[in-house]
Amino acid sequence: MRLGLQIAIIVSLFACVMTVIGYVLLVQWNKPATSTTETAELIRTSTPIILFGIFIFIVMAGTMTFLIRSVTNPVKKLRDAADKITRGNLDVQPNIKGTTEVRDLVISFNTMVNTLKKAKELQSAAVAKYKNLYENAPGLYRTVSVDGIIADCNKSFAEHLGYTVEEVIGTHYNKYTDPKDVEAMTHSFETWKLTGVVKNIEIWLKTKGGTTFPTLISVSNLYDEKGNLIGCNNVIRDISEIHEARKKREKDAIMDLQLAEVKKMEKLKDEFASMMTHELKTPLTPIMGHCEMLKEPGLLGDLNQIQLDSINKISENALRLQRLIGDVMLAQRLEIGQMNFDKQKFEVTKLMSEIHNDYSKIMNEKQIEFVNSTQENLSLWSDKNRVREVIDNLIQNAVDFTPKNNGRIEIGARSEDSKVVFYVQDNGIGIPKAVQPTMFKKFYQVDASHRRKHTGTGLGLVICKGIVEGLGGGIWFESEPGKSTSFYFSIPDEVYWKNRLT
Amino acid sequence: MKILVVDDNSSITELLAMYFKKKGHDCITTNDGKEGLSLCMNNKFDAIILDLAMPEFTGKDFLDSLIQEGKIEQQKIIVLTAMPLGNVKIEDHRHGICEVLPKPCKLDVLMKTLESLTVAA
Repeated sequence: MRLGLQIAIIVSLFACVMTVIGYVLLVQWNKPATSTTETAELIRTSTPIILFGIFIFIVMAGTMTFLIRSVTNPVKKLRDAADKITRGNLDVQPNIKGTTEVRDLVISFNTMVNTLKKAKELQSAAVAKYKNLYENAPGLYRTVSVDGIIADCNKSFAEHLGYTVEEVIGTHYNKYTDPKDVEAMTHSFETWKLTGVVKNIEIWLKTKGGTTFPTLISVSNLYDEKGNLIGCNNVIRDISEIHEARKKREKDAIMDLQLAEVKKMEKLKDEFASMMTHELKTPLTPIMGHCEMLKEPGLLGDLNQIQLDSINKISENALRLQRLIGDVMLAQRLEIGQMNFDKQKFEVTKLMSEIHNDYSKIMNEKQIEFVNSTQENLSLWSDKNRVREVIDNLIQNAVDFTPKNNGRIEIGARSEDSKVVFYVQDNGIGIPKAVQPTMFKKFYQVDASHRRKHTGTGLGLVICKGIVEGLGGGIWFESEPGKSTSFYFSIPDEVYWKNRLT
Repeated sequence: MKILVVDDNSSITELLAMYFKKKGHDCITTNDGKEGLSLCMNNKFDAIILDLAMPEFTGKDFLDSLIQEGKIEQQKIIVLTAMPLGNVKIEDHRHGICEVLPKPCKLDVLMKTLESLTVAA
């Protein structure tokens, strides 16, 4: 039953009783006072009524007290519970019986407590999570108070610097700053104290062992309840890798510049060399032309034998000079990729026979056994003259390095997949292992003593390599020092590839 | 045979003039491309020996002018050059050029080439 209704009924009853009593009293009072006996009579007749009134009053008072207590008791219990909650005990669950209102109030109260409890749990979880993050995060964290003392730091920070968390807490932040950056760090810290603002700064830190590393430090401020700045959280990022990468990039940029410069120089050098060789060649025309005229019987008058020998010497050397210049020009053009190739179909087997015939006489004179071991009927789509040039060069080398007695040179060609492999083998002095890797480099001959004996430009193999690679093939050799050398080169058949691609 | 030699190098023009004259031919030389062109316009030569790399008026300019004048077909031209043969780009002038020879060139080879040209004509 509702408290309001209860009170209303009680008050109405009380009012009824009081009306009855008042009526009785009024009736008695209005009678004229006659005598003392009448007064005594009045008192006698009134007494039960007064007693009744007192009885009513006691009953009412009791009822009211009971009713009021039934309200105040639960409220008091609730107040106690609230006090406990204030003290942080959220496990209070007051189980209070009472009127409907009180029960409603208790239910609301308990719901509130439960909600609060849940919120507190969530908050604790969040705090734990944050604490866990802070302590175990791979990033380096430290909390610095306004007086520069490290109030807290995470494990990563301490370990990265070679300390324990306990060792770090309570020390000054500059203990971990690379001496060369202490000034910058202090400046940044003082600025932060005044303005509360710090841009990300790059600071080198120093470990316990003394090694230093670059870091990027960012700051988030900590305030007390009144809003005063009390400290900051530092998030420190080790940027060693970025630093390395940056250094490398700078170095790369410099190297790129240098490379561009070298390339430019190289181009200038090539152009210069190409012009020089052209200029060197020009005077050879009159030198050789005049020699030719002097040598021709009767044209400019007859010469005696000594004069003729002299002219022959001039002629021979002019020819050597011409070959040398020609080789340099060729190597130059191969290097700058200016070589043009004139490709057509040709019979490889026929070419090998031609070469064999052309050299037979010289080989006979030098008492070298010269063999052409080509067996297949081969043809190629490539530059015949350049292929011949390579073989000529290799034969020339073989002749130069073959012993005077029992010399043997074997040439040949065989098909291999879609290529033709040519070879020139000799039983000469071979190529020492140590110098084999440099064989195709410019101006190389086995050693200076050989250069005296053998009159090459040192460009022969460079030219061979240039031509062979220009024709899409490869060149290599096998050599047993003191025993033999075999040079091989492969030339792809372009027709074969064209057919395969289409 | 009446031969015109156009080459900026006087050693070469002197050599060739001397050689051709000794061989009994008529030879006119010039070290200037432009002069060579006007000689060519005003005279009839059996053959012209032309250098390509000449200062100011190059062998190519010489050939271009002949084409413009429409006189290239009448000429028998031997290009004598120290440039790598692969670098001599004469596709435009093919119809006027009979032969390209490298410098230095043997005089008897040059002579034989000249004789074969005139025989063919």
